[in-house]
Amino acid sequence: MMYFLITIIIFSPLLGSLILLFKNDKSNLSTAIIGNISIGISMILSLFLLISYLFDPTPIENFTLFKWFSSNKFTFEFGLLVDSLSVVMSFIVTFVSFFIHIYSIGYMEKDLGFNRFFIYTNFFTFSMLLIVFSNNFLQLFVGWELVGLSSYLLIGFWHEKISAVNANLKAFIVNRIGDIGLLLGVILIFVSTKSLDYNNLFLSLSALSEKNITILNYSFEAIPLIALLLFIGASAKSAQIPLHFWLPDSMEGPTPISALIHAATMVTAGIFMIVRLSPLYNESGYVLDLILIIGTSTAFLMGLVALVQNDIKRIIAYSTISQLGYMTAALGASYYSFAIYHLLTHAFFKALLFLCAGSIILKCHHEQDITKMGGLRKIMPYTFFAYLIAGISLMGVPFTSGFYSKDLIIDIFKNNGNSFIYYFLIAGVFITTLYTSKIFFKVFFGDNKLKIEDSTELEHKDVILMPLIALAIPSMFIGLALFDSMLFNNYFAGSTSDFNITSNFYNNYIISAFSFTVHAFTSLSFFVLVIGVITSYLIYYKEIDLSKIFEGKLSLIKKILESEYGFINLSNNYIPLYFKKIANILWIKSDVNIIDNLIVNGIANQIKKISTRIRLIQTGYIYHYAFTMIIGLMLFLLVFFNF
Amino acid sequence: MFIHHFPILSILIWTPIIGSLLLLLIKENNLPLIKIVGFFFSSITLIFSIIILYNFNPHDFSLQFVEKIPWISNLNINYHLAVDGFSVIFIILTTIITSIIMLFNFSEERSQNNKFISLFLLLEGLLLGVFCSFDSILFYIFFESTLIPLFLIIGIWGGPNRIYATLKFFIYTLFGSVLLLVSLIYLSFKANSFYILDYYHLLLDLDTQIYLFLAFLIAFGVKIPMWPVHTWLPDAHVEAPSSGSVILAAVLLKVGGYGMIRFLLPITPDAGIYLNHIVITLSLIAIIYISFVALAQKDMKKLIAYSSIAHMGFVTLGIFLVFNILSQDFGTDNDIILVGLQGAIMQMISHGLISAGLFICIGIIYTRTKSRMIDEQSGIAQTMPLFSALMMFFLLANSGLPGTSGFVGEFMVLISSIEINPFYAILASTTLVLAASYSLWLGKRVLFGLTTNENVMKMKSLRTDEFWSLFILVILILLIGIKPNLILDISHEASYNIINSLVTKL
Repeated sequence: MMYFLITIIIFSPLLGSLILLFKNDKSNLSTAIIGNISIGISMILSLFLLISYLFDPTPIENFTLFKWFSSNKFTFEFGLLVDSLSVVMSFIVTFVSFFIHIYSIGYMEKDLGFNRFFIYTNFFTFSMLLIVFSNNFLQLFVGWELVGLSSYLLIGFWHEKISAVNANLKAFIVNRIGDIGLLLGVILIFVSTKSLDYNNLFLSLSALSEKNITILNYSFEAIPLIALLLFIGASAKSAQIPLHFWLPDSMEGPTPISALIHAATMVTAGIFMIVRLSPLYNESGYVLDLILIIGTSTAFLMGLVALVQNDIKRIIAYSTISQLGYMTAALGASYYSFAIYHLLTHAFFKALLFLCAGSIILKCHHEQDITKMGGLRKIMPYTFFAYLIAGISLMGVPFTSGFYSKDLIIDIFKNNGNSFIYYFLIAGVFITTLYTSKIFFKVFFGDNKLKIEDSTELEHKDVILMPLIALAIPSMFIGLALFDSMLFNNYFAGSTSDFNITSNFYNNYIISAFSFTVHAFTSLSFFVLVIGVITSYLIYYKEIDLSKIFEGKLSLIKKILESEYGFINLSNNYIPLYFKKIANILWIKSDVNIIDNLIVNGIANQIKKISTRIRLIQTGYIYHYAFTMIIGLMLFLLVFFNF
Repeated sequence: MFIHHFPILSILIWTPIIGSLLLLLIKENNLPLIKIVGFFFSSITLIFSIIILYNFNPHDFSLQFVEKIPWISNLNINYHLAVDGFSVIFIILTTIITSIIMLFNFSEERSQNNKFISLFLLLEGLLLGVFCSFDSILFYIFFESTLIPLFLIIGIWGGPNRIYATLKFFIYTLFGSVLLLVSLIYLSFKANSFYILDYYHLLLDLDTQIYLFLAFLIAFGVKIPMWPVHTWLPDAHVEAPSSGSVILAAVLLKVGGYGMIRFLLPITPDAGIYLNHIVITLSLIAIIYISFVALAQKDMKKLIAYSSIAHMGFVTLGIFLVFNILSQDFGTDNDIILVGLQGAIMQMISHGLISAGLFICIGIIYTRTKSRMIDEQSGIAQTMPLFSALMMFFLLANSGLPGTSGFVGEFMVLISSIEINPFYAILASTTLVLAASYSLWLGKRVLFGLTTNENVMKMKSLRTDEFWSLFILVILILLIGIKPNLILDISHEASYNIINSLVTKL
């Protein structure tokens, strides 16, 4: 029963994608129907599963789907692991995906590539579900690469746009850098444990902890090394420093894609993977500290960059990176289920933010610069309302979803006394408030600079507005609704290894959702939030001139932020330039000049030279030959008869 | 079964050769008939090869379909044909690729005549001969004579600099094969026979083995080609007509890998253990250095040619890792060795299909824009969307995407390399980034962006024959990617047997 259910959830989008691929008629309607129904089926089944798991989170089922390939004893299989974690994740993926598919019907309706778009998005959903339900590392890697492929195809969806195809190349290659880590980690696991099953790895952890791996005479402990390698893969996919810089550029793709792939689902695959492998990471020692540091610095530093951006999608992209940093920080502290909880709420409100951005962009005739917008509050009431909800959720205003998940992560560090990390994350709250309100005030208030006409009809078609509302509901309420039942009701006990610390945390600190909320009003983060709102009201609504502050030394900071810490230059200019330089040196200097001209053709030329000289002996005069013969004869006689 | 008493291998080899002779009887300008006859003979050969595959017993490592007729009896040289797991795989690859070339030739507007098509059939027959011969002299004759048709194909129908390219190609490979001939003669004296499998049981001392090893390495290393004896390949590819490039990349290079597995691996294990570090280093250089060189290319064909060399680096890596594992104390764990060797074979087949697809794609672009330069194309996706999708598929497969055949071979070789030395695996895994860089960057420059070139704007859409020649390859690449055991099972017993005999020999 479960087997069939999951198989349908995974393969329904693939089937949809294949039907669309071979579909002959050009009608948008049939594409929309097929593309949405295939996801809709998965969504309904996932919702059903989630509800049943909320009542009873214990069943853990492990199936083998089919054998991929084998070599003597070794077999590589595809399989399904169904537990509370994969059920939540599958719910997030299919729910967000479904509403974004509906939204795309409206958003992409005039695009010539309508059918192609749905082929890709359906295929993406399939690949993502492959990761979610995987029970082994190879399937994880396959899914990992296939979501990367979908992301590549969708960022470059408008392939005539040169900035889009630059961005998708960058995204693919940066992700491939991470994939080196992931693949090496996977292979290392395989040769150390002779199997790629998650369960097998968890069972053999104690044996593995004594194993050392020698690379060039340096000896490394196996578990931290594997954990580190896998984290490299995760950090590329989940856009953590220093492999984050592909994500802002990926905003070149259609906005629904930014919402689906580059905010809600694919970029969280890295977080999901580490949660899935929590028993491994629990044992990995210094790697956890590294994860914590990277997560915190990403959360703080990338939030700062969002402040100086003016492109609405780029701001939200940096916000995504920053929020992923919060999740990563939670992972580093070993509170895996908190990370997943933030992943859950973030998926909804961030997808909603992007869909609002899409709605705004559509209304503003594809203008994305927020400084050129204004006064859209009256013109786009639905979007305004949806943005408001998503925005306060992102800031973490109490009672919203984002509050429950984010403050929880911040309070981990208050509780465990790691005040350094704590203050950085608190600072992150301030920054989040600023950039969220920046968009809010600049876009919806002030003068209508773009002179958008206010029509009496709805701001957009129903297919665009309906998903906004559908996502606004979980953005607002899901945090509170699932707080007690999911986080502390043993929900993740079967999937993650942080049960002890989280229940301890709950009993001593949180006690209940209600008390947590009440307590929050007296907390530092709420205070910072209020200050943030006031500050941004002054800066962005009252438009207090800040240019004086940013003179002198502070202007340097602004410059650094605007250069995105130099990553723009590094990734667009320096790295490609040096790659090309190395390539050219190797090609011209080494391959052409040394190997080919000096050695290969050189030998040929030498032979030619020598033979040209020897040819001179062939004079054709008989007396020359006769003379040579006589000399030769004399030499012979000399040698043989010892004259 | 009746098929086993039937000289099916002779029929397989001689059908295309007879076809090639028949083609010479047709009037030179009757192109439609010539192409149909060519396609007919290649398809018949394909059917024969499928019959062989169907009747081949993959669970039996001994030779099958044996045909042995005395040829030069006072020297004990026989016309000795047979197949084992390795041969069957390469036979199928050869017949499929030749049929696709014949299909693709329907669309080529190049000035072809009966001799052009005839040479391809001749080449097919000779290549099949290489993979079926178990008499070393017969092998050598086939091995050597494959050079002639390709020499003529490039030399007559090639580009402007064809004379230089053909001479370089011919002399380079001939240089290697002279050493091969000497080695084979030496071995035949030692073994008192020209039967290749008799060489396997010879007990040679290390010094002799080292000489033989080096001779084999040069002979097959030039062919495959390995760094630093690779420079003939880009030149040959650039000058060759499209279909010539296809067969060169897809099958002729594989003769080198096949030779290594057939001769080097079983005959000179001690020397292999002694010298494998050198070859592994060369393979890793090929993977990294050549990938960089590929990045710098301005000519599409050269880029794919360099990418071929880099991919062949994985083949040699997989093969020579076998020696490395044997030299360490992994004696009992034959499985890891097997994974590497099987990975090398997988990589050869996969590269055969992918590079064939890419060279056909470049041929299709060339017939329309008359240029192979990357910066003279842009935005082909606007005028030829279907073609661009297919070419993108081959490029992604070339960068080793899971689900295509390109992933499996590299993955298997990486497994065996990390077991031996993680450092090798770290170096080899850079291919994930490098192959993606040169492949997708090529795709970006050629297919995407705005159409600026007039020739690109005027491009005609894909012809049916062009489409099918690409689409069949797509299907095969996907099929092998999703079900790799289609290939792995055929060669499994043969690989296992070789490794077992090596382990017991040491």
